[in-house]
Amino acid sequence: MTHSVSRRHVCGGLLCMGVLRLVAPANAQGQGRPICRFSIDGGWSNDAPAEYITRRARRNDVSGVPQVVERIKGELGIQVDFDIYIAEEEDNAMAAVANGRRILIVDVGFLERLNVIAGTGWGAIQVIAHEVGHHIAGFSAASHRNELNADYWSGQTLQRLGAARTAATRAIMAFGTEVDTPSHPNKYRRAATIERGWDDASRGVIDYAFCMDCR
Amino acid sequence: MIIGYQRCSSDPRECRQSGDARLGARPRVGRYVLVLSLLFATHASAQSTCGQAVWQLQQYAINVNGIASAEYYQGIPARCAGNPICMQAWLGQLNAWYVQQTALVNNWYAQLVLQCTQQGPGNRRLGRRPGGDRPGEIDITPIEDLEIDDEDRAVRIRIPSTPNGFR
Repeated sequence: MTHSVSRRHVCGGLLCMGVLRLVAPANAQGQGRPICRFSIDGGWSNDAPAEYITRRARRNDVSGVPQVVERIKGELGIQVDFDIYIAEEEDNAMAAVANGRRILIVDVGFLERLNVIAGTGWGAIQVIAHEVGHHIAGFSAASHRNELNADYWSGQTLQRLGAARTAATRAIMAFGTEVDTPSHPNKYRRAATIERGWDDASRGVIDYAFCMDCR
Repeated sequence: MIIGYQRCSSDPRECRQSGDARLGARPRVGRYVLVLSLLFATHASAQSTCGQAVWQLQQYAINVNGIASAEYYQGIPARCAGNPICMQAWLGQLNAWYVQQTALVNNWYAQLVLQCTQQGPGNRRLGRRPGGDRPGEIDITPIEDLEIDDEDRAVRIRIPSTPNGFR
């Protein structure tokens, strides 16, 4: 979904827009921001709560996310179609199943910043691989189990894609929590699980204990 | 069911609200190329006093963007070597400086517009439309509409070519 925002409507001056746009994108977009009313449960609807999803990613999307997902699918040997959506201002990435479709939602701006802070371009790839890992492992009510399963598959993925073992865990060490939260294990457990996936992949082994739906 | 990479997966808005606190308000300096391509400063506009002033201000804005971009992509990552605390501290300082510069530039620009529109016809070349619009009006015809999708062109996720994935 594409919306147009005329620069002249934002602040009426060129320099004003030029500089403000860099530092206050929320203001710049506020008047025409493409907040599509997308619900994970109900799809697109005028009644759905507003998500900061800007659009559905095309196959050769400029964000590069579908291309990364295709590489991941190739490395893991899975043939699953994903609906990929590009989000803004979420500072997160998400996996979901809605109406029988497997969905990935990715805030690419967040991934870009994560790469900078993690100090490696593998940070973004690990996050995407983690979300794909949710779909491989399956979903359950056990939130921590879900996360560790997905982390394991991200470790598997990154080793196969050529990431160093240390690079595979930099994102979670930068953004994970020190202690367990209701939804997520602490970053040390998560990093250890990513490393386990990486180690298994380096030996050509898959531990199917990290997958509920496999086999 | 929806599952996020980090906490607050059950309510994305929770992430949105806490995002800046975690990361620090971040300057999106990577998009300065887009800005520069749309600046319409020309030597012709610099022939008048007002045009010169605007042209100089634009050069100043370009310098600010250049410094911010260099710091964001090179200076800070090099100094901090991946240390997230260090990165946050520097990004916070960079953002504060950038906000200050933004306010200065916008303020100067507003003053220029005000003064130039109050001056005589000789200086009304600043932005005067050739089609006979009101004198002193900013000429915005060279400014293209912004497609919000364009933003994503500045961000492209790629699989690194090296094991460590450093830029």
